[in-house]
Amino acid sequence: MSTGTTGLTTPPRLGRGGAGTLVEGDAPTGSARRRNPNRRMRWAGLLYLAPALAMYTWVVLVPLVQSANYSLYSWDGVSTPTWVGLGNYGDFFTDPDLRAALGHVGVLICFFSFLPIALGMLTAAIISRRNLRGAALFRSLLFLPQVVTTVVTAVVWKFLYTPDGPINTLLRALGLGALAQNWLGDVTWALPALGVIGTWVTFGFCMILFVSGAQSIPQELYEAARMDGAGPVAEFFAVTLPGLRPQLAVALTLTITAALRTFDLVYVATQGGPGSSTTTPALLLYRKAFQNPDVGAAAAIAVVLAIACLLVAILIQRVTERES
Amino acid sequence: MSSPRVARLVAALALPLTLVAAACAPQAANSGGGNVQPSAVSSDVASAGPVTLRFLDFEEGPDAAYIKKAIAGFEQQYPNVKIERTEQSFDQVMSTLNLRLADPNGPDVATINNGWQSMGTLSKAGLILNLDKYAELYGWRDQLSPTMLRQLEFTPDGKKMGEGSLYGTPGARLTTVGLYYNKKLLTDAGVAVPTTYAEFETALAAVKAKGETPIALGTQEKTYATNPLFALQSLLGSPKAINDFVYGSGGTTLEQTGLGTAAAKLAEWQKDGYLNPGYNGLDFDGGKKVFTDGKAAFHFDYSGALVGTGADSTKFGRVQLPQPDGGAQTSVGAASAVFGISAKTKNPDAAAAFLNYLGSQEMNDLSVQNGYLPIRPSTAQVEPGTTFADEVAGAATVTKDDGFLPFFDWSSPEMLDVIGGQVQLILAGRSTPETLVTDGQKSYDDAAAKRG
Repeated sequence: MSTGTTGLTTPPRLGRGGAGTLVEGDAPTGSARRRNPNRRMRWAGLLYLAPALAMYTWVVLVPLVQSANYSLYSWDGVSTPTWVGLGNYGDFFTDPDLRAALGHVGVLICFFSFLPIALGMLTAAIISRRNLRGAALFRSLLFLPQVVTTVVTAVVWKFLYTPDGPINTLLRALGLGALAQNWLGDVTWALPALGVIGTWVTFGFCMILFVSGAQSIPQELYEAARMDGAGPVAEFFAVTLPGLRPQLAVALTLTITAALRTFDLVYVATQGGPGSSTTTPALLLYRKAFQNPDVGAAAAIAVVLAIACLLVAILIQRVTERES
Repeated sequence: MSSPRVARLVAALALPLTLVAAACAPQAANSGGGNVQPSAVSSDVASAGPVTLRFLDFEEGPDAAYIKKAIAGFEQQYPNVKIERTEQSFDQVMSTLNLRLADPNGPDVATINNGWQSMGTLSKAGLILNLDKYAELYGWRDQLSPTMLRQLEFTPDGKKMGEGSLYGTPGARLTTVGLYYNKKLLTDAGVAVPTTYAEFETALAAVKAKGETPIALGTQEKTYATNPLFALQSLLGSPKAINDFVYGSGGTTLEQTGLGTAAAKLAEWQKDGYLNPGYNGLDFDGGKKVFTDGKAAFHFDYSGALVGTGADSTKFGRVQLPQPDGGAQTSVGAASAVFGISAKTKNPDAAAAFLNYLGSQEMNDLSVQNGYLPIRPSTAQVEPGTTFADEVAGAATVTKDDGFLPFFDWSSPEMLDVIGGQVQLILAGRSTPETLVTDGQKSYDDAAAKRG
C-alpha cells in the first residue's frame, strides 16, 4: 500500500486492496486441527447471513427463475398457457419494433453514460486541481437531479420542451429561433431530447463519484507530476484518470445498466412516440406484460435485459481489473 | 478451495429454486374457464345481513366526487352494506386488474375496460361474472340501446366480442367524441355552424382565409393522437363496416372502415396549414387549451371537454354532424366506465345491486347535474344555450338513431399504439395513410390469429 514505490501509473486502489488482503490472510493453511474452528465460524457466518439471504432469494432469485420460466410460454397471464420453448426469444430477430428499441438504447447509452462520465471527469479534474469557493454548493446543486423521482423530472422537462416553453423561448430570445423545435414531438429530435434529460440526471452522480475518488488520490502524485513538468492535461491522464479507475467502473456499470432499463422517463415523456422513435425494450416489456397481455414475450425481454446488464457489469469489471 | 465452496453454494441455492420453479409454472387463474355464473340470483339485499363490498375504480378529480355520491346513495338505501372504495389512476387499475381479480381477497366490484385486452381477457379467464342472470333480474338490457349493449358482450369462450353474454354494466355516464366550435370565430369568418360534413370543410377554408387557425389539436401523446382520426372516421366511414370490423363479425377489412380516408383528410389539413402551430409538441390538454383560449375555430374532443377548464361555455358549441349521405347520426360513444363483478366475490347479489344502483335513474340525473352525459334518458334540467346542452341534444339524436360506434382501438390490443404512432408519423410526413391501413390490419390479424 505504500505510494512511494508504485509510481505514477499504478496509484493505490483504496477500499478494495484492504479487504482483499484480509480475506487472503484469513485463509486456513495450517493443520487439520486448525481448520475445524474456522469451519464452525464459517457456518456461524452463514447463519448471520441467513435472514438477508432468505429475503434476497424470495424477492430477487425466485422472481428471476419464475420470469425465465414464464418466458418459455405463450401466456396472457390468466388463462391456460401454451409451451413455446424459445419462441418468444425469436422476437429479438424478427420483431422490427424490438430491434428499433435496441438501437434507441444505443443512443441512450451515449447520453446516459458516456456524456455524463466525460463531463463528470472534466468537472472533477477542475475541482480537484484547486479549491474553488462554493464548490460544495455547486456539487449539491448538480447532484440534486439524482434525488428527484424520474416521473417528476420527466414532467418538468416535458414542460421545458413544449413549443412555447422555456427552452424555445430562450432560443428565440438569443436570436436562435431557427433552432427552436417541438422537441418531444419531432421524429428526429425526440430521442436526443430524452437523452439530454438522462445526461442532466446522471451527470451530478458521476461528478460526485469522481470528485470523492479524486480526493483520495495523494497530493504527492500531483506534485511529482508537476515536478516532472506535466501540464493540466498530462496531469489528468497520468494521475487523475488512472486514480479514478474504480470509480469509473462503478459509474459505467450503473449508468449503462440504467440506460438499458430506461422506462419511466420514456413512458411519461413520450409514450415511445412520435411513431416508435423513442421506444425502449423496457417500454415494450411493459406494454406486453400489462396492456397487451403477452406475459411470455414480456418475460423474454426481461430475461434478455437482465443478462445484458449482467454481461455489462462483468465486462466492465474484467476490463478494469486487468488494466490494474 | 474456493471452487467446491462455490459449487456447494450453487447447489444449496439451485435446489430450492428448482422446486419453486416447478411449483410456480404458469397456471390458469381459473381452470373452470370463462362462464362463471351464480346458481341463484336475488335482488333482496336488505335481508342479507352485514355485507362489505370492496370497490376498485379509477375516478379521479371531479369524477371522484360523483362516485362518492353514488356510494353514499347506495349505502343509504341498504344500511347493511358497506362499500370500501380504493381509488387509483386508470393506468394503475388497468395494469394490475387481472392479478387483483385472480386474488380471492381482491375487489368485489371493479371498473374494467371494454375490448379484448381487459374485458375480453377477464371474461375468457373466468375472473369476472357472466351477468346474464342479473341482467334479466333487473331488466338491464331493456334500458340500453343495442349498439351500447353490444360493447359489453363477449361469448363465454372469449372468442367473440359484441355478442353473447353481458360481462359489465355501463353505470350512468356516457362519453362521446365530437366536434366543438368557437362561436365568435365562425361569425367573424362569415360562416354558419355547419350542419353537414361539406359545410364543415367550407367553414375550415373560410376560417383559414380569415387568417385564423381552423383546428386545434395536440398529438404529442400517442394515445390521444388517435382522437381526431376516430372522430373523422365516424363522420366519413360506414357505421356498419366499423362495427363489423371492431367486433370481428365477418369479412370486413380495415380499408373498408374509412380509417384510411380519415387519415388522408388529416394529412391534407396539415399540408393546408389548418392545424395549430406546434400541435406535435403539445399533449392533448395543450391542444384543448389552444381551443379554449379562443385561438382556433374547431376542436375534436370527448364530451365534457370544457368541464373544469374554466372556459365560458356560452362561447363554445358542439355539433353532431350526420353521415355524408344525410342518414343516421353516428358518434363514437361508450360508457365512461364499465363495472364488472369479480368471479371470486362472496356477495354477488349485493354487488349486482350496487351495479344496478350505479345505472339507476338517480345516478343518470346526478350525471347531468355534474355536467356529464347520461346513458339513459334523464329528467334533470340542462341550462339552454350552453355547450353541455349541445352535447345532451347530440347524444339524444345518436341514441334515437342507435348510432353509437365502438372506439376503434378495441379491435386489437395494440391498435391504439399502432394507429397513434402512425398518426404522428403521417402528420410529420414520415408515413402514409396506406401504411396506417396496412399496419392496423396486421395488428388486427395477428391478434385474431393468437386468439385462434
